[in-house]
Amino acid sequence: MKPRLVFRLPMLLLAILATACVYDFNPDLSGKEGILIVEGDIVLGQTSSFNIRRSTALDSWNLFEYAAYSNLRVEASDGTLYPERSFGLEGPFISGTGQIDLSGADPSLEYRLAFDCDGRHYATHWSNAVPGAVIDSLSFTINEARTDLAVKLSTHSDETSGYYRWTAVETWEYLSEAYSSHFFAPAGTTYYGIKVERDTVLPYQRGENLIYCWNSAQRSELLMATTESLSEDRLVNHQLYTLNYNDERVSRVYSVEVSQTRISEEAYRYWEKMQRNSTDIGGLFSPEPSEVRGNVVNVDDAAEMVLGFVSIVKPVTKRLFILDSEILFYRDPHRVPLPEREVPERDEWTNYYQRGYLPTTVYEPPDPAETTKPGYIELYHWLPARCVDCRLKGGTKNKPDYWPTPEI
Amino acid sequence: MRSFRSILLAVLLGCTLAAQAQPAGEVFGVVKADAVTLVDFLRKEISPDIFFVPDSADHRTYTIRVPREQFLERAFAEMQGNGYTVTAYDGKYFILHGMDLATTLPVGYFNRREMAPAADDSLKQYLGEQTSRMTFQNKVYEIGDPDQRRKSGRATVRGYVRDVASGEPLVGVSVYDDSGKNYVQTDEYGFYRIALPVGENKLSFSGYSLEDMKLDLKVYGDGGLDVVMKEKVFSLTGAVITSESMDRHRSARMGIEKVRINMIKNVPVVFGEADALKVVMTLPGVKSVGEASSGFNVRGGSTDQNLVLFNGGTIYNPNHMFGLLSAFNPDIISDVELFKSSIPASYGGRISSVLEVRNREGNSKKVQGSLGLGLLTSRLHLEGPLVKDRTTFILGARTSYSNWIFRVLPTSSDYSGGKAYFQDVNLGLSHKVNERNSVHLYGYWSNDRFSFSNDTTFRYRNINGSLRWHSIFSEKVSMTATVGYDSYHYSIEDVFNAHAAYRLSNAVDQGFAKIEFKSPLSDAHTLEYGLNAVLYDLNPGSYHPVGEVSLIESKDLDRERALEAALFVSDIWKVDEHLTFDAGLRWSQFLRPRNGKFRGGPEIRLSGKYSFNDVTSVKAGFNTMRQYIHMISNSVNISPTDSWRLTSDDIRPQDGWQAAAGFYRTLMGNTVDISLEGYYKRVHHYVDYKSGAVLVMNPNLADDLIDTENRSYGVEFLAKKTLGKLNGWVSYTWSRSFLRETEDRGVNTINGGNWYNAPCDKPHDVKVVANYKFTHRFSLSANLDYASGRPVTIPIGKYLYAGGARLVYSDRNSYRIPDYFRLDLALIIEPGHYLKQLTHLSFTVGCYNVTGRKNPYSVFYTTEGTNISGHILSVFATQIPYVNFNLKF
Repeated sequence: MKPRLVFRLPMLLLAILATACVYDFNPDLSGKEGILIVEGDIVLGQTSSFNIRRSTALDSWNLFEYAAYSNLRVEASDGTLYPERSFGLEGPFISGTGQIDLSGADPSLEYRLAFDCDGRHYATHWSNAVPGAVIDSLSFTINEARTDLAVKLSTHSDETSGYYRWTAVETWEYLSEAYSSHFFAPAGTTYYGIKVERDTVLPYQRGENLIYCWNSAQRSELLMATTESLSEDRLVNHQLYTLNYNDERVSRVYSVEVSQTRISEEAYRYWEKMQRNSTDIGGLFSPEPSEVRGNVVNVDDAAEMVLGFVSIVKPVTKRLFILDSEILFYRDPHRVPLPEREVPERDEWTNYYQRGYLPTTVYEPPDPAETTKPGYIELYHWLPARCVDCRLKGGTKNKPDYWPTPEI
Repeated sequence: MRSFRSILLAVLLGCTLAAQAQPAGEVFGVVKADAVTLVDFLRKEISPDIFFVPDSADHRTYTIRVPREQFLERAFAEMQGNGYTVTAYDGKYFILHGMDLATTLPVGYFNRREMAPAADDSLKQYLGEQTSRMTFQNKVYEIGDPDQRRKSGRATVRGYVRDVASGEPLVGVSVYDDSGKNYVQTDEYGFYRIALPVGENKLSFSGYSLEDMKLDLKVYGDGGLDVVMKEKVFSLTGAVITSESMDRHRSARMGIEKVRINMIKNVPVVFGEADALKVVMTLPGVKSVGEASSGFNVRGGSTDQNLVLFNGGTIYNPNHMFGLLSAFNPDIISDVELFKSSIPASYGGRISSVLEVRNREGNSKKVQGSLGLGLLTSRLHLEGPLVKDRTTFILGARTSYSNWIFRVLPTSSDYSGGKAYFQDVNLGLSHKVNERNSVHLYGYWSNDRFSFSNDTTFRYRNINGSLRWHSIFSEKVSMTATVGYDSYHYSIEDVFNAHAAYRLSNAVDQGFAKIEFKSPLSDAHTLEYGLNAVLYDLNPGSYHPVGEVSLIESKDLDRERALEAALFVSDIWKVDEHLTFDAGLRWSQFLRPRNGKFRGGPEIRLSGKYSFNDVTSVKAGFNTMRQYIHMISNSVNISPTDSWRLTSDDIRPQDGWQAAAGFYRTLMGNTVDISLEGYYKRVHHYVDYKSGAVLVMNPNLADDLIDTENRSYGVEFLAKKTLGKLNGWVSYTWSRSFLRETEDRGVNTINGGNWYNAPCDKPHDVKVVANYKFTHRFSLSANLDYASGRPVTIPIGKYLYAGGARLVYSDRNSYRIPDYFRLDLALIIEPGHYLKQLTHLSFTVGCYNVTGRKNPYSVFYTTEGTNISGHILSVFATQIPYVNFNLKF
């Protein structure tokens, strides 16, 4: 049973009833904190990263607390020990993330992750690497109503069935709300080797504009599937996730790198529970939440709750690019009028700049009544910085090397 | 009508002809008279000494026109030609049907010591056995043969109680004598049997919404007395009305609640569709985890522990649209009866309760029907005689409207291509073979189909058919034998991804047979015994590809077949007029070939009552129950993906016991019944699941189950007023229900092996159902429901994992959602009470959740990226007005 079904049904019922309602719930809970959380997979032949943190209370401002761990290592069944990359320092660290170089690790052996924290010893169960599978294709489809883009994946292996988990790191190019060809240069600053005498606006050079930005993030939903009910270990156009047309990610060029790992059934069940607990709870027919326990245990006290599942994996990756011309979602750029100010007086520019405004570039089209008068650009329109500077929406100007569009 | 006309004609003819032709050769006759009319005519015109036993199946008519002196001879000849025997004896004529009358005694008759049945007696006996029909109250009815009167001891009086207008049997009418010692109730056929002392007796009949009746009897021996009763009409003064309270103080059984259809129709429910199951949920001790869920919990039990019987057949999914509406058509059901404590030994197979839903029997006098229009469904029902007074039918059908709900959804929503529809059809046929035998045939079919935007379709259907034979073997033994077939099929089809398109289906099919005997042994003891067998054939899961490109591998779990057989016997022992015991024993045996062990064991059903007087009594009871079929579901509600599995080598039967005690009193001139019942209940081998258990298509399901026990206790207070302008009930329940995992699975043991709240544990529960009749045409109904919030498992911590925020959950069910409160109101406008009007239009205007309170159904948290937000889901978060039309014809 796919969780999708179970989850959609109650939602449909709600839609049908049209009387149902979902509203906020903020109970006064003290909460439970400090549960040890171990994240990361043992990737043989590569450098593997592990996060060792603690959970926080539900009402906490933070999503995690650092755990002071030490002696992080991967142990092989032949006794080989792969220690944490130490940078010449002694633990315990509170970096939260430790790296272990596993190049040269023999894939036929069993491995486990172990570490100490607060004087207690923790380790995962011993296990073997699960053989990987190639990604046959990574593609996308757009629905008939042109409202959603679905990213789909096909894969297969020679085994009879398998359990798959994916992590998807998305990268996308997007634009600021307003176009700006010039930036404000206050008096006394130096640009292009010239000292600015008087407040002015100057044109951007190539690659400096605040219009084009790139952002990148890992998708937060848990992506997994199994072929256990299929006649062969093959997924054809399995839908990983969808993006709505008003999502900034699909506003221009979109790329996703999917990393696929085949995992054990035990690991799959763990991830499945975690997924159910974070998405499927609360509907009319939803299952009751159930506690998740992974394969990390306190060696001395098995009763301690430790969360996380560390698999031994061989990831394969594939990247997908989608250009704006392939998406062509309808977008109304003027859904919200921008709080634009006309500030023709140069003396007031500093004032506006300090109040968080930036100059924008307004193109006045030719007046059809006076055919001789050409269109022209006005430079004295100011907008709040968040409309002009694309970086304020979370991205950066760091264009990835592999990006297919030319630099502007 | 026809016979009336014939008489008129005959009399008219007689008069005119008599006037014309004077002394002899007078032509004389009847035209198209039936046998009864003919005999009446003979008695009047020729000889009063004609004894006639009419054959109720005889509808032939006689047209005889001959001179007066030949008339008798000719009439007898015609009747003999039609299968009657006519015997002349001592100047009297006996006209019988299908039997000869001996007019001479056997040789040596007078030499015998013992009195053998005299030949003459065979007539008397025959006549005696013919049931008198009660018509007047101020008459002395003679029961049995006066010539064979017993000097002392007791005799059995039996008969049917029917409605005077429609001829339908009246169920649950109290029949009792003045002494207070003898008390019975009519069964579902309207049949009663009561042992009375020989001699003069006063026998009272009283039933809900019926005029009380008191008859003077002279009991000589065993005999029959059919009674017709009138529905009470309030305008009549002097009609004494007592309520059902009688039953409470006479029967030792406790925890039985019965709701009749007229009350069900008065209770306002969402969308205004009269709903038997929703009304059951307003009874004390019955809870549901939330709105729009027809799964219910009785006294802390789980939703699969209720046996829902519809005319004897088991309904596995009594809901339409997954709980929005129950699958019982209100137009054809007569009442629902819930057994939550004293479950008679004849029932078994579920731990918590038995819910009996019964059809009405069709009107035996005339064809009538009704049409109903509601927000969700339109309904039609027809009933009437096929053969007058012998064979009746009742037919009901409902269908949903085609998807109007989906049309009002915005087209951009994901559901614009969705479809939901359902239908149900009920059929009941009753045939009275003769006074002692009747045969009943029931059929039920319901179908639901529910689909998302063209890619996912849910379907389920119920089919039930049963044949029942009710027979009175003798004064001492009556029998009910039922055979039937029940079927519940469920499937999901998902074609979202053509390469993984599948159909998942499961099914429960069962054949059942039940034979039940009732036999009053003596004044003090009434024995009931019988045999009950259910042959299960379950498909726990089939998984098949849909379409050609689908890679889904066909998989079928092994069918599960088993026989559950039970023998039961129970005795009602009336020690004296105060003390009564009801003791039953049921031995159920579960036989599953190839999957091992023979499971079985005794089930004890014990209860006793002591009544201080007619209006005050105390009762106590102890029951044990066993259950061999389990619903596999990990949601708190009955959900569409639930399947049923049988007990096997690895899955143990559930068993449990309940001890209960109660105090009952009737107040205010027999109009208000109050009861206070307390109970303590334990269930072992309650089915629960490991976290992350795979419940669908799992051949090794037992590995994912955990053994849990259930402990419940509570006190229920109920005040019920069934008569008068204001009627309804008020109940308050305080109850708790806990679960505990009995295995030790170390850190995985649920809540560390401690007791935790069951999903239906809602300690305080107040329910008010009331109907006030302003006039005969207008009445106002109200329904109020307050309950503590149900326990839930909610997140108490969070962490970052795999790129998103994840939640740490509390121990199971350690928090509660906010309390629940709802008030519903309805105005019911009845038609004019003109009897001659052809059609009667009534309608109901109502509002569900008048206060518009956003009652929480569940709380849940969503995580989006690194944001976590808490939400409350409220199913009916606003006022829902409705209107419902009903046309009777």
